[in-house]
Amino acid sequence: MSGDHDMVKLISSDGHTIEVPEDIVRKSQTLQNTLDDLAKDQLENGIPLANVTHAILTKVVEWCTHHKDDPPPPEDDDARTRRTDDITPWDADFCKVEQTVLFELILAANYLDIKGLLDLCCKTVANMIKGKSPEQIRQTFNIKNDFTPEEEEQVRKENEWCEEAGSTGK
Amino acid sequence: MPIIGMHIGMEGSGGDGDGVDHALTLVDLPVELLFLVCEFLSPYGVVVLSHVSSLFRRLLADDLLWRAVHRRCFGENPPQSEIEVLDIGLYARMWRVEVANLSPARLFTLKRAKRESPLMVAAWRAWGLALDARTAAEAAVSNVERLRWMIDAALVLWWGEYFDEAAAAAEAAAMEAAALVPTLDTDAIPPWAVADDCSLLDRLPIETTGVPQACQALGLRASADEPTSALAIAAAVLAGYVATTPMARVAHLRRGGELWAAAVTAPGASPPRTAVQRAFELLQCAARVATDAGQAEDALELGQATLAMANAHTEVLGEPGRMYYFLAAAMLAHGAYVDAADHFALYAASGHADRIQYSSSRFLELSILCRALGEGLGAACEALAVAADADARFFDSAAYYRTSHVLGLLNTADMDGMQSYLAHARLPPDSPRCQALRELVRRHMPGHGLGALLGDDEYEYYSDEV
Repeated sequence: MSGDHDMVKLISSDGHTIEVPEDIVRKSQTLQNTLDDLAKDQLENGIPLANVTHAILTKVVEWCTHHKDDPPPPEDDDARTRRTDDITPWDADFCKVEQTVLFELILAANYLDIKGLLDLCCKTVANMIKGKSPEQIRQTFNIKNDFTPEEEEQVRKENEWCEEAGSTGK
Repeated sequence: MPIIGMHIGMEGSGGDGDGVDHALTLVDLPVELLFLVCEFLSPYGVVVLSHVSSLFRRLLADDLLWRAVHRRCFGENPPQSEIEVLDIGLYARMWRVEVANLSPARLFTLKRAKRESPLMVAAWRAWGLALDARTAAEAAVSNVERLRWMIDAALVLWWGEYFDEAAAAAEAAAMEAAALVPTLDTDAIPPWAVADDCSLLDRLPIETTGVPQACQALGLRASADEPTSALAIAAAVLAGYVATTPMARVAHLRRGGELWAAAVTAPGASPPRTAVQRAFELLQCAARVATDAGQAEDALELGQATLAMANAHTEVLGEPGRMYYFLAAAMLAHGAYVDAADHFALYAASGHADRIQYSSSRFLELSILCRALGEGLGAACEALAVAADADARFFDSAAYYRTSHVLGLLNTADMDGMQSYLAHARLPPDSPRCQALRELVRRHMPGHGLGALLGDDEYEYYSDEV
């Protein structure tokens, strides 16, 4: 801990130290457990996060700071919370980053156990998938089509259903 | 608990620093996290994803995943007799059977609609319109339901064959319902108009009552406490959404913003705070679209209008922050270099720039590059010295080093040095820094042959955007 009792030092994998208010740090369940488990003097030198770079940690802290007053997310999601059209404008702006950064945020949110951020990033990826054809998804995420001829045939049969389903409405 | 731990964040990613060893992609995510993404997809979305590659096909042929999907959509586990045969095709067929059971003759209830359609139906009035691709052709809405909809709705949008348009409009008029009934040109509606970006819908002066995942229909209802002009605003903004060209989008969004701006001072309008925020957001959105589309004049004009609004209503909107950046970028694109330099400096000094990833230093760098364009290299060197004196963080930053280096290269017309610098910097061609450097190199190193380093997509670029 730093001299200011409610600030916590976080050390990124690339050696940068950032000081973050404790209430922000506690948005991460992983770090909350660390804070609860360690004595104050053990935290003097900061908490090393060997798996999170400074750039990603900064983004995570930015998100946690913006959402510091949010109520804790429910433990058990029902179907309503699985929707993807409820992203706030601020969160949408926050997620307008390169794909690499978005995926790194997913990994970081998962490692740090920040459910709200993890859900947000997963929703953003889901929204990037929705409404696209397989080929468009490949292009969006730079994925190679590596089906064998047999698999291709099976996929084609399933696609008949998809195409039929997709063509009835409009 | 976290699902899995692994190295997170590659060195230098997302910034303007050194090289990237390996860019993380979707397929690099752990399986459990891919499943988490799938939880936000409809069954149709999961099936489509399984057709992308053999990896996804293997991953998504997962019983637990499909049970969860089925449970989420139908509210119950799949039939026990069926789940012994585990393949995606089975689930696809099961899904199809369920949907095929819906027919015009069977007036299904909201409960059924919710259960049987993977829709985000938020209010019962919307369900008749909020039908996805699979059910749209089969859905029928009774007269009773339609009338209730028309009474309550302020804005009804549809396409396809849901209603007899003439009859519905006549109904609305006869009942003096405050309903607007535009019919959209189905061919003109881009698929992303609603489904892929619902963020702006949250900012409309209307309540979104139903947004289908397949973007086939949209139900909207005006909030009771909004001004009657909400209809006109909503129409303008929605027109912005469905516009097929950036120019049309800019025009409609701008119209929506201006209508809101007019509502700021109109007697009996909605609370000024709401009006100010919405006017600001719409104008800002229009400015952004114009900037992205390369409409420099529109971007500049809209940016100035938005900044004026931000400055006039700081008590509501706070510090203009990011607006300075957008406006500066528009000024740079428009060739108003001195103004651009001033506004990049304002942005660098704002709290917003300070909060973002690489601090304010790189915006001071942009300001000085614009100064070099507007007032010459001498003035830029002076500005660099002043900025370094005033801001120790800038003096210690890579941005200071870069700026100093670039100005030195330009001063001495050191083409080899510039070539080496640009090859290392790998700037995104549309970034303000690349734009400024392109113009500086053109002026100070004529016949340089460095164009490939300032716009060729051969290089892996780093984003310089806010």
